[in-house]
Amino acid sequence: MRPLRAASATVRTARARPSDAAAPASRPRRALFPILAALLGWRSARPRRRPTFAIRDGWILRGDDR
Amino acid sequence: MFAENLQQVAESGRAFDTCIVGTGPAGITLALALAERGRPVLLLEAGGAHFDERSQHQYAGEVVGPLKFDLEVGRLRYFGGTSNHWGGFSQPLEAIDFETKVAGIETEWPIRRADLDPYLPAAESILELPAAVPDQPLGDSLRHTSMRYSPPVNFAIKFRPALERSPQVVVVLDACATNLVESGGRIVSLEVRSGDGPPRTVRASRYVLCAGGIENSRLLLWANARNGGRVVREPAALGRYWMEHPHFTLGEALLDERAPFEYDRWSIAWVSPNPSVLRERKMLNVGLRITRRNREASNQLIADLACVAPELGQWAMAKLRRRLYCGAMLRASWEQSPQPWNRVVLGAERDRYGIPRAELHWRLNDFDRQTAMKAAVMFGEEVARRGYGRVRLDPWVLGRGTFPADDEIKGNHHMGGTRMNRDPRRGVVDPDLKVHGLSNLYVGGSSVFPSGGAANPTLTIVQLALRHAEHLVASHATAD
Repeated sequence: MRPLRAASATVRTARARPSDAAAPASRPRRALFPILAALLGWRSARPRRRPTFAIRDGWILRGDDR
Repeated sequence: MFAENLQQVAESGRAFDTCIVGTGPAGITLALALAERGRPVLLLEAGGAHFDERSQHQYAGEVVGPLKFDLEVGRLRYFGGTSNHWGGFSQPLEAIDFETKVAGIETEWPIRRADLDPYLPAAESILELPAAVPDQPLGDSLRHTSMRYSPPVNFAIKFRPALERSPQVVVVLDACATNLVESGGRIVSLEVRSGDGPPRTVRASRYVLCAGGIENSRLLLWANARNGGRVVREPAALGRYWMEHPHFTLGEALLDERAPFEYDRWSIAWVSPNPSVLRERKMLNVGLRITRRNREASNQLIADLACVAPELGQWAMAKLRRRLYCGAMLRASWEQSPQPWNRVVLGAERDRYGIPRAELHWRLNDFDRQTAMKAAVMFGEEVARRGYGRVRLDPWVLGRGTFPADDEIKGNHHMGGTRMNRDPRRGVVDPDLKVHGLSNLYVGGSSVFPSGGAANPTLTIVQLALRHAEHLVASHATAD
């Protein structure tokens, strides 16, 4: 497996695997949190997750593909 | 006038403003544009009105390198030139294609896209192109592009009536330019052969070679040899920086049917990296082509995916059963890095007129492979990130193996050899397409391209010819 540098740091990873359906757009509490955090100057203790990709047998897979 | 006899033209002593060698899109566009401005033109075609095996065989030559192709195939030696079989795929070069994208890779043109933009509407009209569709973003790095299709316009059929009617143009078929005669820093005459007849001499104030992406170099190399190096006085770049657009299958993809790929009339969806990404990733321009595969191929692809990611494979199979997934081929046509070692030279064998046949030294390098790989990986990541599917790349794309010799290999886009550059040591023609060091010899067509972008070249060839006509008329007025 060869890890690749992700093209973008601003990508959301879906929670349910292996579903590839896009995450629902409206989750008020989750959507509001980063806005509130930005407004109030809060910082998350946890570093932002960067998506990872790997190439296995030529397939470009997400890090959470099983 | 059309198809006058070469002997009559040569013996008439008629003075032409411009003699154009070649009747492909470059030559015919230039001839008609000059004629519209009242300039007398002699337009020479080496072949006849129709395809002829013996004439075509004049194009035979050898490719030296690991990827072979037949130099008699992919270009046509008769009236209308290669427009007799082109597919009509048309895109203008992008602004970044005229600039340096990667340090050390000489893609820079001495002109900018803005210099050709004024000629785009007329070129689109000549090629009968539909209106352009704006690109659509695909993530941060990629965009959906669209190919514009000419019907395709066959220049022989479309423009023969206009050439026949024109009092300014004399078209001579079966008139093969075999030498240029230089004296005092200018070309004084052109040696032309017809059939098995003796060499004839034609004269004009200016000469423009529009014989094609290999023949322009071959004729200049030969004329230079016969004129003691006085035709291209700084020959360092002559024949060199020859380019194709590599055409290869990069891999396959499983794609959600609901993913927003728009397949055109050729069932191709087009994707390219954003121009800003090219410099950032140190790569040249790429056109990715996604084409759908049948259900059987899709099944096999999912089975292969299940071997490396079983859960994902099962899930994809369930979607395929509901016809929500489809296999696709991931192909690409991309920009080859211009390199001096890719070149046209005079070979040992000779054609029927005793001119050495073309020997084309051509190979792709690892930078070229990396350009394709970077675009394919970007696409694979974006597809996976957005939940559109997954992409599998062929081993050679990832650096395991060489370019596959049994693939399409090239697009019959012959570029370079007489590249444009302000510096005579680094180019053959100047930004006005005049050969450095001579006052009245010009070159037209894709052989003057310093780099080729990822766009099919015909539209740019026609733009350049229209710009060239304007320059020739203006410079003639100045000379008058």
